[in-house]
Amino acid sequence: MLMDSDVCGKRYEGRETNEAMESLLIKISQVKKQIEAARVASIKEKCRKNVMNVDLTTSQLCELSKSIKNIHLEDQTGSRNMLSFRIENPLFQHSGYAHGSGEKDSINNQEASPSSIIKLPYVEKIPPYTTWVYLDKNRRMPDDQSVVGRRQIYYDQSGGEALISSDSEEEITEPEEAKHEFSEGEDQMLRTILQEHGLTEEVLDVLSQYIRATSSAIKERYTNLCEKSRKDSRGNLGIDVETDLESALESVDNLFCRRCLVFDCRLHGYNQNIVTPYEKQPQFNEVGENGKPCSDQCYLWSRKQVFEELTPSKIGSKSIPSVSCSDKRINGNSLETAIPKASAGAANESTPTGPSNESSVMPNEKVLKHKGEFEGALSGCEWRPLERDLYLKGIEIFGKSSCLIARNLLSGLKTCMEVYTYMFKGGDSMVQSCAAFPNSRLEDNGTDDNNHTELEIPSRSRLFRKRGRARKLKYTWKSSGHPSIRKRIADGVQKAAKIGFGDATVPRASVEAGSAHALQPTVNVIQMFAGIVGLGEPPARGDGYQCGNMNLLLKQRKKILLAKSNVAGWGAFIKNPVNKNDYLGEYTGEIIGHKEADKRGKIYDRANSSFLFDLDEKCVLDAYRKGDKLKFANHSPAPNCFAKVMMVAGDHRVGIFAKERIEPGEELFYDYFYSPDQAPPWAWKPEWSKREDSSVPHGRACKHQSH
Amino acid sequence: MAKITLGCEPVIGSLILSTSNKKDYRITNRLQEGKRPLYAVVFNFVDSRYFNVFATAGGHRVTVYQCLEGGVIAVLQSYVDEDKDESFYTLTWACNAEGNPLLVAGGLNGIIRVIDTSTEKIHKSFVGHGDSVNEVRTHPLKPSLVVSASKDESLRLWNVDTGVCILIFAGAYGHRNEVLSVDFHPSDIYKIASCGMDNTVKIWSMEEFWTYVEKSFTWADLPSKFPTKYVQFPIMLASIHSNYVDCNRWLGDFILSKSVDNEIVLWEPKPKEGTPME
Repeated sequence: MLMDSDVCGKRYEGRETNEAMESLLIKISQVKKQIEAARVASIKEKCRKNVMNVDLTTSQLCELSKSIKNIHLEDQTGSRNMLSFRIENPLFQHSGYAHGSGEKDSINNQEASPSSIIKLPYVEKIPPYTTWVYLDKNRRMPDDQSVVGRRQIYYDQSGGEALISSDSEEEITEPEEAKHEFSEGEDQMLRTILQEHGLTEEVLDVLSQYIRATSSAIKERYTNLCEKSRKDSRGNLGIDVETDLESALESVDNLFCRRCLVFDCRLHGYNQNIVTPYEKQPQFNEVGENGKPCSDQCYLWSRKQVFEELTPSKIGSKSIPSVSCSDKRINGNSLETAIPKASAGAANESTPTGPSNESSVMPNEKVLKHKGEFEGALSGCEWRPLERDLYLKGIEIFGKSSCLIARNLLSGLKTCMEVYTYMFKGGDSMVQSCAAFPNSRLEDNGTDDNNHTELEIPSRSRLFRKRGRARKLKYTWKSSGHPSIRKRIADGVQKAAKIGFGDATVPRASVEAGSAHALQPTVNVIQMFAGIVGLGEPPARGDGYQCGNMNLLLKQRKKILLAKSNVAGWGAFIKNPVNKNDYLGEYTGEIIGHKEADKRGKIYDRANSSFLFDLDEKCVLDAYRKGDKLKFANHSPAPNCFAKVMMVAGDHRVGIFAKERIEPGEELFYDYFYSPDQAPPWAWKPEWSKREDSSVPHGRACKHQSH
Repeated sequence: MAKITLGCEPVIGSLILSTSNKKDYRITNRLQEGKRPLYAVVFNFVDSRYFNVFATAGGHRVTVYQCLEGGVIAVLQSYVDEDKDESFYTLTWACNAEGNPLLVAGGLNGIIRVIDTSTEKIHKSFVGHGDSVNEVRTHPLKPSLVVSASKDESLRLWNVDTGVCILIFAGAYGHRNEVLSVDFHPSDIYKIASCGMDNTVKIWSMEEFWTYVEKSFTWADLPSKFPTKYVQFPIMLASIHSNYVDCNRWLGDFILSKSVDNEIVLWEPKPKEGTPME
């Protein structure tokens, strides 16, 4: 075998390894043969079964067709079946060849006599139409829909065949090493070989030659397989507790879209800027909400004695926790004494006092007695990365309240008591920095990445609303032209103007006016802000002022009808009358990059039907497969509508507006705005000068310009 | 060729020309129809009375013949489309409610003609496809149902009896290029397999919409008022070939599919994935 000679060519140290190698190779080839043989056998078996199946079904079909015949044999009267009639009297007959002479020259020409030809009446064709999916907002193209790299064969009118590859020879992209999918047979081989020979480098090398995957991939796969056979340990949370919070929340961070408030946002894609919500750190005291122990494992049981011992009257005050806290640290072990007593007894007020007295009376003895236990309890408590992270989050959210943290975040994983001990034992360093953190945040205005990097905890870019009032998001249906909103905007503008637009603050007003999203990329917001309102107060146009952006946001489109166009193919028609500057609808489609658009454009231009629309420097809208009825609106140099790219809630969208008053039933046209060198013949404007070369330009749309 | 992993190898068969045995089939006749190419020849499998009747489609003409003893071919009927630019690509025999044989033809115009051969008249014309029709097939168990595959990337299920378009198989997960061929499953009344220029073979199921199919048989109103449904999601998608797949047929539970790169694959579609077999 080839493999053998290859491998033997390599040098191995020591005879033992050589022999081991050989046996390994033999073993591998054996396994391989076994698998192949099994495969062939299974295929044969399947084919055999299938053949039986086919026999069965064809006989069924045969029966069915016979039954039809029988139906007819029964009722002879009435139906005059022309076909049967013809069978009796055929129009023409061609005699066949004599036996044996297969290749005769004479070919019987079939030309039926004109009288007996039956004409099929003319039916008008409909213009070309491809099934499309309705989108009410733009959608990013999923990666598997790309046209890049696909070759298309085109047939000329003359009947010749032309193979035109869409991507041509400009770029030969290296096919990436696709992730090797391990099949059943390979798994089997892996298992048997690796179990026998162990997981060594050499074994992996040899295997990788057979299986054609990298040895690291094989190794990984093997470990996966082993794990699968063992039972995983899963926490109550349903996530693997061995990971840490970061990776567990990865899916949330990556897949949640803050602008659309959905997971797997179709519009914005993945990997958006991670933003942490700013929550003012409430100064929670450690007693928790109401001083009641949260469970029988609550640290409060231990606390209670210390508590009442020292200052029974000052329940709930802030100072106490710190006092008792420090006390606790000093008398760390007295805590332990209380625990068994408290859990033994029922939860009533009287019992704590008893043991507390006891403990105060003889702390030393108990201390010694329970010290071991205490330490045992602490050390026995193992904090895994996930739990650590959850704990940190809990500190951020709840402050130093172990009850709340344990109940909400670590339920099932750690008890309140354990959290508390952790908090004051090792968690101290982290707690301190956490405590410091919110303070620093308070002081910073308009913090962004720069400031955060200094802190230990990994920084995340964020915006926050400066004004305390702006905690709640206010959704208003009133457009930004409305007087009450305008005033707020004006205020906001002034304040923002003070700070200057170079800052990363988001004035609260703009949050209200245009969109309901609090957390937005700053640049866009400012643009939008400027776009909607302008720097300064919004123009006081009175209440009749229509905000174009609000129309798009609220999707207040008009009813559009689809019918055969007077001009070309299909056209869009308006159902009800509209006035000048009325918003008609949005041109939605798939969002693709320019490169992809160029490739698609080539195909579309061939068919002389392109639905590409330039959106901005980075994106193009393609309404070929997904879009809105407005994609059928044709081009005209004297249009009755116009298209406008607007920035709405941080996204570029295309709105179609009426240029003049339009009556119901009229076809909609707008100017595609082709540049002279990219316009298809039907869009040539008379004012363009004559060009020397009359080559067919690639008219990619308006709409989009090809390169 | 799809990446072949160990244990999943197809058994490669070879086309063996058996020269040993005598010719079982002999040419007995040759016919030529004008100058235009003949794109389809179909025998009538629906009705066993006409087992030796076949029809051909070429240019804008459809002709019906019969094979008789001694290699004689009889011309029975001939139909011509008034639109001279029409070119019929595909034919199939179907059957209406009374059991009369119907001939269904589709072609370049995208209009599907249903010809009633028992009355020698056109029964229905289906307008709906946005582009030319590449293939038309009849349902083996319900011969009034006909599915058509078209250049406009969709498949449509029609009822030739009442003239309604029942289902359209296209949309978000439909074919992304011309659909070249389609076939019904021989025994499972719900399954349809289609293949096209997007290199995929898709298997669709009509099960969810079967009530609409039933309704179509008794639809008495205008065909345009029928609530035609869109089936956007096939039950399976197989990228077995790496080039255009221009024909697929069911063979029992397996599918035989042929692609432009000289490959015929017999494979079994499993509910989760298909495994190429031969």
